[in-house]
Amino acid sequence: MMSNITLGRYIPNNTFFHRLDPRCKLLLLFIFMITIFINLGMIGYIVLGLVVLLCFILSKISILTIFKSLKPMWFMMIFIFVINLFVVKTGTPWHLGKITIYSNAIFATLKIVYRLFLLISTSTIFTATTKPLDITIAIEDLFAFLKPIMNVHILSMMISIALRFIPTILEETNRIMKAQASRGVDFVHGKLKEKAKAITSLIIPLFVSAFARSDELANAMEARSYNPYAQRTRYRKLHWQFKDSLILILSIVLLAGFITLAITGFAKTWNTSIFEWIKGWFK
Amino acid sequence: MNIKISHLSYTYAMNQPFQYEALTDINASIKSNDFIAIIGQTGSGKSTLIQNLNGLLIPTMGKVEVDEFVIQKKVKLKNIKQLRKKIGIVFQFPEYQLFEENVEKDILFGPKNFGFSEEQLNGLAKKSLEIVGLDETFLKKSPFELSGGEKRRVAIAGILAFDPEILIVDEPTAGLDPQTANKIMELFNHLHKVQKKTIILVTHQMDDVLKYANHVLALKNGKLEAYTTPIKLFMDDKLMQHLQVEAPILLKIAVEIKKKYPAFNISKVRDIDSFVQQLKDVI
Repeated sequence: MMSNITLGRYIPNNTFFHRLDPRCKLLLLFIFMITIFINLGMIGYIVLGLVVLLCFILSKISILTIFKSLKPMWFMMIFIFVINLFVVKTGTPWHLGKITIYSNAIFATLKIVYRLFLLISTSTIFTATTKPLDITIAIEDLFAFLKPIMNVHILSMMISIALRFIPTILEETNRIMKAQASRGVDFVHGKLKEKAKAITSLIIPLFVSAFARSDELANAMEARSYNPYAQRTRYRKLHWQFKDSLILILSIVLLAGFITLAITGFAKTWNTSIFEWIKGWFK
Repeated sequence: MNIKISHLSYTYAMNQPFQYEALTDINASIKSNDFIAIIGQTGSGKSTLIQNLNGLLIPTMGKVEVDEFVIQKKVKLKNIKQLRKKIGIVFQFPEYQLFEENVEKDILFGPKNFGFSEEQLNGLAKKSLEIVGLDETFLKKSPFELSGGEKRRVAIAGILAFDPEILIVDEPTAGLDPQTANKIMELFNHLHKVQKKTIILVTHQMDDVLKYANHVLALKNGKLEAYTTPIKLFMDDKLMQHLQVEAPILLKIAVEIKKKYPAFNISKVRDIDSFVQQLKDVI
């Protein structure tokens, strides 16, 4: 029933990406997120897409799994497209009977979908190649500058517990769904009222067990003298290597390049009259 | 109802990074009004097997036939609800499936899903509670204020309420005190003997297997290793070692006694009472 969820799951392997320092990977993720939201123009997006494709190959994750997890996005894509139809009134108008569609409505939708695809892809590569525990250590390290203001350790502990329990709660959901299905619940078909009842029969037991579980976990942690305010040492130490620096510098250069292009307005020219711009070079 | 399992294999997360074969080529048939115990170590595929019997999981290879119902890949089962009404599954820790505001509503949840009429529902909750040994004062209580043993009995009542012909129970006594565990096992024995129901019991308690089961189905690493009577299985030292299962102490003592008194009939030993009776007959 829930076998399609590959999003956010760690896939054990020993690829180049798995061996990168988690702090480096987290920074890379930030850089990518920023880059994706810059208006890059056609060529910029293609370059970025190629970089993401390279990441897929390096991390040995099948792109097919990403496409599978993008299935729910179809609804959103249509929704955005319909909105754009009414809002965007630029570009070449196409007449379909009484309706007029502007070319930019389609391009704008495609751009949003492409950006979302890149976003989901990069974050999936990150979570699939980085152990949840390493992610939290990376967060704790990178936000260490906040230490005078707040307790960074508590924050990272909360994130790590949340991440750790995602698969557990998914399993639990699966189990309860099966138990209720044996009692005649149909989660897929039925009227709205029946569906609401079906969801209630899942949500309530799920909450009950989640609360019971968190209570038990809190007790188990306290029983082992966990104190978030104590001075802590670390069992697992991270090692920053040369390749981490190299990759980081490369992607910063990429980001800087994109930003410069966006500011100087090249991106816009590329977008509209790229061929004329190329022609200009040969004159 | 007879169950016929032919060449059943089940693989979790087919064609995904987490692919895992839980069952391999299982062949068995279960006759009506039999009491069958399924044994095997944790992870041997016991739970997967029972979920294949009522269509919660669909075999990746082979098929399961339950009278006119055929559970098979790529063949859509139309009246799956009817099948689930006939095969009731009490999952491990069934108390986590309770969600209604009172016990009565929760017991009637299954029957309502299976389309019982008002007439049939009338007094059904009370009757089901009586079978599991709780009185009608429980009807209006919230399921969340009950003790662990009571919750479990209410959950079992919720399955019994829709009167399945085959009852599958997954480790029904796990985590219960010996008295309650005993009562619950006697309940299943009663359902088997008096109401002529087919019982399929998944268990780690070899004493229960010896005492109640007519046949035992032993799994190891997803393969069917034995399908025979409990006595025959327990007396087969080589097989027991292979399965890494310990025979009941009672039977070990019986074997020692038989060395001194060859007239002692081991095959009639099922529990303490029958053991004592045999002993009296010999001496």
